[in-house]
Parts: sequence; C-alpha cells; structure tokens
Amino acid sequence: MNPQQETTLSGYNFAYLDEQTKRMIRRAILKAVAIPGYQVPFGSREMPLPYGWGTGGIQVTAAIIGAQDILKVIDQGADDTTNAVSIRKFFARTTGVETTDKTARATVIQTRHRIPEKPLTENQILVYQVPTPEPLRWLEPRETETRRMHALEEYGVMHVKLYEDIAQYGRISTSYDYPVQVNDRYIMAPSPIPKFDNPKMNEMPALQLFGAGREKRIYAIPPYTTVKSLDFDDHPFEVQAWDHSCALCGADDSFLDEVVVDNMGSRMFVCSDSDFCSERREAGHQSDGLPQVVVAQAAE
Amino acid sequence: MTNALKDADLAAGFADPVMQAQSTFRLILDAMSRPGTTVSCGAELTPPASVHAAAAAFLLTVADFETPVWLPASQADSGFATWLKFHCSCPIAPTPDCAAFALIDIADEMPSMAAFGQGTEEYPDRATTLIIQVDHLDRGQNLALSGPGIKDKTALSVSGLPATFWSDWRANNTLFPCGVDLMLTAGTQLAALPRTVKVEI
Repeated sequence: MNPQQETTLSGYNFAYLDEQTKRMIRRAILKAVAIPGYQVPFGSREMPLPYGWGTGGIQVTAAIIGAQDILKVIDQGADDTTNAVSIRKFFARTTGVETTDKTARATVIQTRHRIPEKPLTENQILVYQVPTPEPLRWLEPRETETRRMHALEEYGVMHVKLYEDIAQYGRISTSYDYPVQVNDRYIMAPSPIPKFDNPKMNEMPALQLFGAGREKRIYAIPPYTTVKSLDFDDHPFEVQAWDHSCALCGADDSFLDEVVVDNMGSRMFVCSDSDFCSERREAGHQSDGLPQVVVAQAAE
Repeated sequence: MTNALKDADLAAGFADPVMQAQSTFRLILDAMSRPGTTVSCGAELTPPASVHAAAAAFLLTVADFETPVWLPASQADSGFATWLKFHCSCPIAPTPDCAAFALIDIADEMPSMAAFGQGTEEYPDRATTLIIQVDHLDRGQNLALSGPGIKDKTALSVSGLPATFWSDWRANNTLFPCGVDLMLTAGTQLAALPRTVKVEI
C-alpha cells in the first residue's frame, strides 16, 4: 500500500470529480486529441478553488490520473510556489498518488506557464493551466466570430497584429502566450508560457493537454505533431536570450528569472525550472563566483 | 422490460467502476494519441455475445445519458442493447447521424461513414466516434499510418474490413476538421484512428 493513501480524504470520489463529470471531460479530451489545436467546449465544474488558480488543468488532471501515476506540479517552473504546492496537496489528498519534484520520474506533469527544461518522453502527459484559450480573443471579442474565423481558417488578423508589432517596435514584441499553428491548421494559444518554451512543443514525444476552467475549453497537441510559432520570412521567430547565466547552477541554456535581492535594486538571475537547477547543482555544476549578482549602479 | 432483462442475463460491468474506467480511459487515450498503437482492455468483461470485450470496455468508459449510441439492426433488440442501457443509461440513437458513438460489426452491413455525425466546421467535435469490430488487429492487410501522434510512419495490420473502407476513409480525411473518428476492436485489442490519420495500403 502506498503510505500516502492513509491520509487521503474520505467522503470524496477518487480525484474529487464525480464519475459522470470525468466521463464528460474524457470525451472532450478524446475529441481534442483527434482535432489538434481545436478548442473543445466542456462543462467545467466549480472546483474548491477560484477560477484563475488552475481549475481547467486540475479538471483535466483529475480526469486522467490513476493510482499508478506519479504527479509533478509546477508553477512558473518551480515546484515550491503556492499554486503548485496547493494543487499537489489537493491531488495527494484526493487520490493518494505519489508526487515528485523530479521531471524524469513524473508520469503526469501539471504546469502553470512553463514547460520543463528536461525533454519529456512518450510516457509522460503534460497538462497546462490555461487562462485564455482563444488566441484571437484580444483581436475579436465575440466568441461567435472567433469560432467562425477558426472554421474558415481566417487568421489574417493575427498576422496583422504581429506585423503591427514590427511596424511599431521593429520586432515582434509578444514574449509569452505566443500564438502557434498546430498541424498546419488551427491557431492555438500555448497558454502564457514564455516564447522561449514554444520550440519544445514542436514534435514533443509527450501528449500535451490544455484545460481552461473559466472559459470551459479543452484542447490538445498529440505527440509528434508540428507546432509552428507564427512569424514572417524576414522576421523569423526567435526566443529570448540572456546576457547572464544562472547564478546558482551556471546554466546558460535555460529560462532565467530575474530576482531582486536588496533595496539597492541588485538582481540575480536564476533558472525558472527549480528541478533542472537543483539537478545541475547536485551534478556539481555551479556558477563562476557564487552568487552572481548584478549590482545596481549607485545613484550619483 | 422485465423480459428483456431476463433475456440479457445481464452480464456485469466493471467490478471497480472508478479505477477500471480510469485505467481503460488511459489506454484509450494512449491509443488515440498514438494511432497504430494497439492496447488491450476489457479482458475481465464478458459482454453479451458478438460484442468485443474492448468495445464494451470503451462504451462503459465513455458512454452515459448524454451520449446516444447507434447500434446496427442486428443488435437493436439484443441483449447487448439492454446491457448497454443498464450499465451506461445511454439512449439508443434512432439514426446514425445523431449518434455520439456507433457500434459496428463488419459482419453486418456497414452504413457509409458519411451517414454518421460529421460535426460542423464550427463544432467539429460533435462528430460520431465509430467503434468497428474487425476480425484481427495483429494480422491481415498491412497499413502504413502517418499523421499527428505518429513519428514518421507506423504500421498496423487489420483483417476483415471491406474493400471500400479505405476509400471511405480517404474521403473522411478530406473533411477535416470535420469527419468521424474510429476505434477498431478485435477481442480485447483496441486501436484508434483519429480523423487526421492518413492510411496507405
């Protein structure tokens, strides 16, 4: 017996949701996988935490998770932030499944706004929490119209938006929730992951599921599916780069968070993926001259 | 009603509905997201005659009062219809086009794929999922599959499908994003063909 099972809540169904709700979500997931990038409407339930806290991702995870799964939950790459801790506890108590911080050990990874740095495998499922599933929503507020635009593959307005960025700033300024085209058909919001993570979605061996609780949509990218970030021939898609490396593990190829460390405005840059960073440190990597802090210039 | 119940002899559904529906769903999800992969499910079920264990497991996992299920004429008054209504509480679809799921045995005359719900361009998810019972999923006609979920190409062997089946499937491909999705079953074996999959013979 898994020792955690002794501490699971009584009086609730396995994984909190009732069976009919799970069936409804499971049907939506199957259709989402069959139509890559298309947003399937579903009867999102009220969850014991507010919309905006990952209710969509939680419902998707609850519909797929089983007793044998090992769950990892991250929030902006970190396992130890409030949202990740609460959701991990929620599933530990309602299912008794084993939880982990290790990306490689997890079979189901629920994420808010990051894709782990370590490449995922065929035996894993990545579940995204999505606030706004409709990539065209900021350009066209009416659901009836955006639905029609998807039906007709009428995506000119999205390219105009990116072009206006170029006209105004000389480059595409969108840095997160950067629109992608899935399997050469549907334009899809990748959820607010940094565009740094967009290339990881392309041909990923793991299944990717997206749940938006408030907006009541589920969508998916099957494994080994083309995911192209929108761009122009003369302004190709590119990801963020940093002048720094991680102040803790010295990585120069991961997504870095900027952390203010004192009242003088000094900053340090550290890996956003906490498991990636700690594994590197355990393997003996460290930054040159710990800790690498960018000291603010004292005001004259 | 009582007669039908007696005739059906009502075989059991899942012994542990919560955990078995979950584990079966994960197998189906795996089959759906990796077309060509054959999974094994429903081994513990003994559905009424002529219905494959995998087909029964699929319906127990996803069908309920919200999903009309279409059955061929040969099954319409059978013990299986009673079994299905008892375990899933699902309505029996009067016509193929309003069905969420349809069970088809290749021994029966199969309506064309176009007769089933295709979804609409705005709601392509409202298409029927066909559960097609074939003879074998490990031998027979060799198919090369490609599309989302498949790295380069993969192979699947199916026996028992009529000659016109794959031309119907190619027509179904052209309807994307509309079109039906397939679950092929043989005994406890199940393989999925979502509408995106291209099949070469």
